[in-house]
Amino acid sequence: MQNLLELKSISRRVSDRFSLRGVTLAVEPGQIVGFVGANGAGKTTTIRATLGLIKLDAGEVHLFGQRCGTDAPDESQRHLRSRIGLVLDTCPFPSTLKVGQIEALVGPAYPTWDRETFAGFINRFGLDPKTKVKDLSRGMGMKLQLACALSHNAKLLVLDEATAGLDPMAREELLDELLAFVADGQRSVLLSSHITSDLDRAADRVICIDNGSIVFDLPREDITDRAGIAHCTQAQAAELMACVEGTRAARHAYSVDVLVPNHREVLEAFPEIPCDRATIDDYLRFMLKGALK
Amino acid sequence: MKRAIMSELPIVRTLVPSIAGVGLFIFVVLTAVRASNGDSDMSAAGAFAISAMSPIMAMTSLAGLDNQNGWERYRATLPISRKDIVSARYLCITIFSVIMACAAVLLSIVAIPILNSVGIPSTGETVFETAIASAISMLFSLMAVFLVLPLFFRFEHMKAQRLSVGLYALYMCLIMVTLNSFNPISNQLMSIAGTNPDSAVLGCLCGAVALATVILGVVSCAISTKVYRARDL
Repeated sequence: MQNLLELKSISRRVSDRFSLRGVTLAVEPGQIVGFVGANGAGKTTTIRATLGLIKLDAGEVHLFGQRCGTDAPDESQRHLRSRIGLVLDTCPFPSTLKVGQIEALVGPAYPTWDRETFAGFINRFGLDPKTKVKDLSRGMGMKLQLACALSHNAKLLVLDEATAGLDPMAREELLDELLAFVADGQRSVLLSSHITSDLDRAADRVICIDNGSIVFDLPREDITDRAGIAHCTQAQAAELMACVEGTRAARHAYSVDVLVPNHREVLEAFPEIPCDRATIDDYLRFMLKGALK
Repeated sequence: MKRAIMSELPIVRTLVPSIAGVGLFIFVVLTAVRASNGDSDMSAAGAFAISAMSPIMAMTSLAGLDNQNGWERYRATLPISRKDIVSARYLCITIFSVIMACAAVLLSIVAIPILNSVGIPSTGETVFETAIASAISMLFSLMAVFLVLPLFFRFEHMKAQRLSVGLYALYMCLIMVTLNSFNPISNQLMSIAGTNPDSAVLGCLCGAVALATVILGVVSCAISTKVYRARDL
């Protein structure tokens, strides 16, 4: 099946200290793809490149199988963008407008805008049409954006740090919406976040970026079900790392934690070494900070 | 293009009460000041002032709202081309300015019998003269807006505002240095209008200024489109 989004080796120099370097990723239909990384790692810049907000030095962006970018014809860009829904970390609408006026602002841009769907979401999310945008809480602002993103029959949802600053209930609600969105297997979500617990529950794949380059791109099960953290002595760690490929170590005063790609295999081969399952947080920490040897 | 205008209108609508409020305040103050000086065309001055300030207030207010909460970036992700965004902005400022100028002229006309009824004699300009003068005020103001609008599409709001003030200052200095007068164009126009106060001359004058405004607007819009397309958001 055709990928909804494909970035092929995109590069862009942003400043003297930061560049996107050959970022390649794909979002398949029916997937929620978690896009993780530290602050300033390049998540938002990658999303800006995806949405054609910045020019690229190299590489290609393909949306729904068609090449897209700032140099693409206006009509083609319009058509592709009408199939994308966007949710940002802060509510982007002018603060003096009321919730009820946002439809008049965003709706006319989309040929497939559905007024009833929007009204349904506003009602379901408990948003008061008379409330001004500046008076919305962070969670309500996110819900308003989500209502806009889901009211024009989008095929791809892009969320840039949308869960940041939300309370656990609001995050839970958002994740439920995302799971329902991809349930038909035709639509996808690219969820950029540094809150990895959200991805533990919802993501099908996890892509990590650091310093403008992709560090790993794995199915979520490979991290949360297969990978593990072995708690070793110095000697055990040395032996384990010599035997198992793809390990990373975090050294402490009297012990060494070793990230292993398959915790069951390690438990079988080294029954004396306690080995727990890894979380996405653990995996991220080891991959970004852990030592290879 | 229609989609871009429809999307811009809700924001423009929110500007109407505040700009109209400021306009009304200025109208009342100017009328009162001129009445205390014994001028007979007191209400026309308010109409000129409202007509002149509306385009600049609309431009800066819209640019400020663009900058608020990252709306400009979000808008660029909507299925509207950057060319349409720019064209819609030019069109909305122009339409808003025309509506405000018409409202100002209407206010000026309505004010004359009210002022007379409260014992302040006001002969006023003729309706045609007030309308033409307001239109010329608006057109000059629109030209000033078109002169700096590309800066607002090229740079973020604060920088564009600083640069536009600098550009205006440079423009005024150049005029003063080269022509030895603070506002030679309008002085020249006023002398033409003053020596030939018949409606045909005034109409031609207004038409010429409108044509110049349209040409400047088209050139400015093309430049804005070019710079906005190249801009990273």
